[in-house]
Amino acid sequence: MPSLYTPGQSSRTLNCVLDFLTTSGAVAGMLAIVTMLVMLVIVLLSGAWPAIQKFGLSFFWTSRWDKTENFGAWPVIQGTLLSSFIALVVAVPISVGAAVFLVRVVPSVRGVRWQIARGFVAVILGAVLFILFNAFFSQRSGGIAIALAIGLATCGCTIAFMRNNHLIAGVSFLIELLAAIPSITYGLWGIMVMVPFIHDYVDPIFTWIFVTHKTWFQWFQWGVVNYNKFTHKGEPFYFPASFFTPTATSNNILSAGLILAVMITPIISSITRDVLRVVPKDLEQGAYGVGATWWQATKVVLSYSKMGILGAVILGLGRALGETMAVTTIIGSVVDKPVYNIFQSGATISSLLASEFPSPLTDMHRQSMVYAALVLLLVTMLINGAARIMVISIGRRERK
Amino acid sequence: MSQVSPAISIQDHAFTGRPYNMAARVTNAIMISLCTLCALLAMSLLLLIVGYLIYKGTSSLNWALFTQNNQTITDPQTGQVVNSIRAGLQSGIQGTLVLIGLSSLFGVPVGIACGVYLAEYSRIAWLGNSVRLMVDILVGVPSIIVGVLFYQLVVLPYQLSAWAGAAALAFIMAPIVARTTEEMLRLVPKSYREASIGVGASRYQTLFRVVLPAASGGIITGVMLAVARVAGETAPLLFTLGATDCNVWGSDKNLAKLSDQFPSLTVKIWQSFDQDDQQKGQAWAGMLVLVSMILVLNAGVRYFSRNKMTRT
Repeated sequence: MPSLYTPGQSSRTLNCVLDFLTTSGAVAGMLAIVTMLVMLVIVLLSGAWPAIQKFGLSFFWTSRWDKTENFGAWPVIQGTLLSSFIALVVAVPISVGAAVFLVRVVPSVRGVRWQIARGFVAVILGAVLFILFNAFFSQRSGGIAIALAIGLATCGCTIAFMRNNHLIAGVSFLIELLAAIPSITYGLWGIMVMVPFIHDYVDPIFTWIFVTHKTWFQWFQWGVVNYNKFTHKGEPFYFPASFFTPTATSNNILSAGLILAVMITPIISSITRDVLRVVPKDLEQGAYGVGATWWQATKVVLSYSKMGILGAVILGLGRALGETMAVTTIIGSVVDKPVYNIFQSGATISSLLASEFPSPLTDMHRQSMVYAALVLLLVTMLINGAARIMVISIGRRERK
Repeated sequence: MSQVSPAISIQDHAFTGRPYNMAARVTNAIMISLCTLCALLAMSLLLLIVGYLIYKGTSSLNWALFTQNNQTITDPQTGQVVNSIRAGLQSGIQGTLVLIGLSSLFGVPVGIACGVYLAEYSRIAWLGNSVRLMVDILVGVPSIIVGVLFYQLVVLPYQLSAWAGAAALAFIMAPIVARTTEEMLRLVPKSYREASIGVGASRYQTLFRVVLPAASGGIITGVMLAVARVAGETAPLLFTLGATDCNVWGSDKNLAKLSDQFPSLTVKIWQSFDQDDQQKGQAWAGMLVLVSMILVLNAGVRYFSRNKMTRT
């Protein structure tokens, strides 16, 4: 068959060669990604192997870190889990609330808008008055509290008087911009602004509940802490009273957990927003049809999207587990004492790596840190894989 | 629970259809206000952080930040650090720019190639699905573990160098670019590809002349978002780059080489956290420069692509 040869058309063999090159380029990219993941696991395993041989599984429940020969990572694992758990407890209600606001509250009918306006004006005014009252009568500067109150009031007025589509776009844009801020900024802001704020406003609450009224909360005793070998006495440790007792340091696990909460809010919020948007309209219309209020209809929508929201929460947990710089600035880096109080300085695996990996003292020190890094990697991989199964199936459903 | 007798007559309720159950109405109002408050709180936090950054950073912002360098004066006999003058962050800014460029050079082609494979060329279903799973896993790997990986791979055999740092940043960048490239390529309608094959184009011609240009806006968006993410990374650079105050280009006597310890803005900011308040001003100013660059990149990209992506 004669080949059609018009000017400007390449020959068939050139086409075949270029096709082959493009295909192999794409396959090379795919192989590169596979190699990256495999290389990550293998290199970390080989780097940690002497430590794995020496400590085995007892690495996970021993509490020792003398930086030369003996290592046990239980305190860092505790710190990682605790700070991430605190972050989740604080961030999930706020992010899901923000997502519900964007998807369900704002597009509702005008009547709801005026309910919002009345509702939050009352709340904002109350908050502002409370904070000013506190600052005035306790003679503290209260600067950050006043700034927060002014911020809330400004946002509130913006919400009351803005059109729906611009409002949704603007608010979601601002919340997603929280994810773009680098974590050293969170670290510096945290230690200069948030930690004193927690010390001034959150510690007294816990002190009032768990110290002044500690007899209400000494439910059961887990043992003793600060055991003194000479007097053979230690302080008894009650749960939950001793667990929540504020201490002198403000660089503690609770502060790290709260800054992590700020950091994972945009992730949970944006994925929850996507998940809530693909809920079929028949559900809420049916609920309204049988006479539900807005909140009852929203409860129906939320229970429909349970799996997606759970996936978003798990993705946020994955991010919180791996967060380094902000946590290292705030958490105080104490790696050899097991955690018995969320108000004590601790460490997470990432903060341990950030503070001690640049200058390891011995080879075993470095290998133990790589062992801890391997543990963190495996946990993060599991969590991200699980979250992906829950979330992506909903995302792909939307695209079809 | 006893019924609350309505304050207005049944006639009015028949029109509105709203429940006259007091508890439901009160709960409703409370929950609406709570959801609004949560959104307000999330927004205010952002404004607080950025506002504080601007407030603290502008007071220490001056031209010396961009034109001068920190100097540490060591006693030549004992080798101890005698004095350190914090004059500027010029080497850090140059170093970060070079690092971003170098890591994009390695990471972006790999990412786009993988995205193209997943969207266009994957035929075996289980292979494509597992590669997608691997990409999503790699996106979620903590960046400090990537730093540990490249420490073991490059720094232990050789030395602290910019290659290790750039490779770590490229490792972080490639899966992000791959994921967004695949999403953007999937958004190109199938009819484009079918029309192109219909007029006789071969596969590579379809890809390079029809599909990629159609998705180019979104792909560039994804690349810029990945660059903005990588620009703010500190953890992987902590122990792959080292620390130095030498400029990267210019007329200095000794410039920082790529195969030796390299300056970086983020690492310099991190190292100045331990200084006292007077010198922390430089940390704030440097952070203002870094964050404004990242936020402008993010905001611009999201604003210009709000029609292409499916989210508002």
